[in-house]
Amino acid sequence: MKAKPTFKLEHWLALGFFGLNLIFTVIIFISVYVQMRSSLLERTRNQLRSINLLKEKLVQSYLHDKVSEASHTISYFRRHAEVDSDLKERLTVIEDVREAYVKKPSSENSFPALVDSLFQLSLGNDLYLGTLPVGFGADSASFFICLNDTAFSVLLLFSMQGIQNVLMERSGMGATGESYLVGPDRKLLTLSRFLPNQQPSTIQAKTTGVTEALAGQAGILIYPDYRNVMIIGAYRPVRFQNINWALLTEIDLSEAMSPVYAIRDQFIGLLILLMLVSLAISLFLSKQLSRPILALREKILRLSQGVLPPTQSQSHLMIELVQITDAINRLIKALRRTAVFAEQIGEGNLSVDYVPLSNKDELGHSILRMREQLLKLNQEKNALERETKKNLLNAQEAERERIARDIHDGIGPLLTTVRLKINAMQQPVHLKQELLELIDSTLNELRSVSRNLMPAVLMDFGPGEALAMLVDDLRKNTNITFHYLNELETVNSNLEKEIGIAVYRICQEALNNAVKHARATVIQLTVTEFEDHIDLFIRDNGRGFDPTVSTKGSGLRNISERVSILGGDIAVNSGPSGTVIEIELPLPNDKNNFS
Amino acid sequence: MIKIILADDHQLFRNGLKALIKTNSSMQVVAEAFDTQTLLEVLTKISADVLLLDISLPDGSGLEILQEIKAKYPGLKCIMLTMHQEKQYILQSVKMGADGYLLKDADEQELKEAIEQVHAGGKYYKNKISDMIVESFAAATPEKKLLTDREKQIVKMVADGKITKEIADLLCISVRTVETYRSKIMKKLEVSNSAEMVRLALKKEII
Repeated sequence: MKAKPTFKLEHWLALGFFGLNLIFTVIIFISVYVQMRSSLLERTRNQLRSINLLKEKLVQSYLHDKVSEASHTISYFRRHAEVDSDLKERLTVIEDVREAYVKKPSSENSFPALVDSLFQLSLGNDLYLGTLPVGFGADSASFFICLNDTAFSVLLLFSMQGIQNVLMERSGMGATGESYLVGPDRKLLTLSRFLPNQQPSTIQAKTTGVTEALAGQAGILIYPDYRNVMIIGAYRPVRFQNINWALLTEIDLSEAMSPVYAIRDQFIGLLILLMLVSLAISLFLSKQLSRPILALREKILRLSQGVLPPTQSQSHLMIELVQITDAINRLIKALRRTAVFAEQIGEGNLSVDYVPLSNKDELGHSILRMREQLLKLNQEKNALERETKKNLLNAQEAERERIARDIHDGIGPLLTTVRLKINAMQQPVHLKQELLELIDSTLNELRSVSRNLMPAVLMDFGPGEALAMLVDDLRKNTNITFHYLNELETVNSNLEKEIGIAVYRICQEALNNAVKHARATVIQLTVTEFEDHIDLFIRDNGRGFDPTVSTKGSGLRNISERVSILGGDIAVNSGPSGTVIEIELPLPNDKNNFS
Repeated sequence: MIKIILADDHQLFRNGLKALIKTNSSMQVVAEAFDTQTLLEVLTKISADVLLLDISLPDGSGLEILQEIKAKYPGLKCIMLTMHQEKQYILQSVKMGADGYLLKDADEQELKEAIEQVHAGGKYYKNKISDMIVESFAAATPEKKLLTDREKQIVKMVADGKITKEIADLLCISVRTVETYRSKIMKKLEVSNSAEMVRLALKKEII
């Protein structure tokens, strides 16, 4: 057993359209997104790298500047041989110098311990730069420059303000971009953009970039920064003499990627819109496509219920649908034609014709066969009906004949016997005469009754003679002129008793009509026997009648009945100048038929 | 003495008739038969002068055996004694060789007259019947003719050059009937077309 499909055609179509759209759009979106993301990332990296590099150069040149400024100041001092205090003063004027110390080997100077240790550290080097730890008159770490001359040594302690300014310079870093320096202790040297009120030295930056840079590596990576926020960070070491710093240039990943995210969001919005539109179009299209199919399904369903829907031509978008509709319309038309035919058959109209739709039109052929069967049945029924009527009529005629004979040949002779007896009686003549007259009139009545029932002449001499007798009687009893022509064969007559009786009865009826109703003055009767039929011709010059109206109760109906029973034809032509009745009765053609 | 045989199926009638004949001393009923079969047997055994023969007998018609009886016994005079008074029976009787025709309701006098007349070698028919016979024989003469009156009429019309439709109109019969007549006539004259039919009819002086 097949699983019953529960999805409608239009849903399938809509799903198909929509799904295809969805897959297509998503693939395009993802590929565009990935492409954009990677190119944006690449651009951001390049930018960060160049900023990082630029900042390093700036820091380097700043440090150089400070070194050369210090050197120039010393040279100037030496050329002009000013006093020592002037040198200190001049050195302090150098920007960003917080403290300046001058040490002469000749004189015993007293310096703070840290300063001493710094002098010690740089001993033996003409120039010594290093990182200044926290706590020396400053809240944050910075750097120092130590210059050793033959005459004296100079120690300059710097604040980070100058480098800070260099790093803080805007260079298209957006809202979250920053560059900062980290010392070897992994603490910030410059201000954090995000935590401006916090001392840099209190901020630990144990990030990947810092580790790499302090180890002397430069590069660019994505990793969480000291705030634990994902960033894209470019890093490189800053080395100058004994300075070993890490320079980091970073931007929040979210900001760097924000155009991509914006585009992604737009894309998603667009996608949703597209999907909605696509869904709507899919539904509309599938409805358009499925509606005619559903209409056809409705038609076929109604056909299967035996209802013939009207055939209307619809314009469809698809040629196949037009063809299917056309085919179904043709089917409906053909079925309707067959149905009309069947209906006609059902109503008993068996003469209706029907051309089968094709050689294989089973329904049509079945109905045609049914019609043949009905026709045959009808014919059989008619034949049977005719046969029944014929038998009834024959029985009636036989009965009449028997009664007529019984009266004529049975009672008649008895009466004549009575007559003989009376004749032989010894009675007065007048009494005998009276009785004899009574018997004679009884005998006449008896003969008349017998003849009316069935003329003996008809039985013994056939209809020709019986009609001659009838015409003779009518001549005697009316003033009508009769022309009787008997053309029946006298020698080899084909006539059966049954047909003989019918001929006589028909003519009798017709003559009676003419005599009683037509007010005719001349009546012509011709009975002709041909090889295969008998021709009856009765004409009068009476007033005529309407053969279609006045058949009720008149003899014409009896005549027609008898003619039809014998399978004959009758033609009645009546008008004001008279009536002509022509009848043909077929004769059984046994004589010529030896089969 | 006139010897008489009675052939009638009614016992009572025969008795009445016998009684009637008995009153006449010159006549005597020598035998009786109630049907044709018995009659033919009786005739082989008993000779008689006059046979009173009924037409309607149980096993056949008196008219049917009349010719046979007349042929076998030429001396036997036959009088039909019947209820039928229609001329067809009378004419048929004459044709078959009956010597007289008498109705059963005839008077005693008529009966005696008839028996005596035929016994004397004459025929007995009442006046009215005699007229009828003459009339009928006059009418019956053309019975031997090849064509009937209507057929002759049609041949004549064909000879006059009338077409079938005209003939049909003139005779007030259908065209089909005229056609049938023509083919019937041609068959009778043994010709195959109208021209031959007319020629032969003229030659035989039929028209």
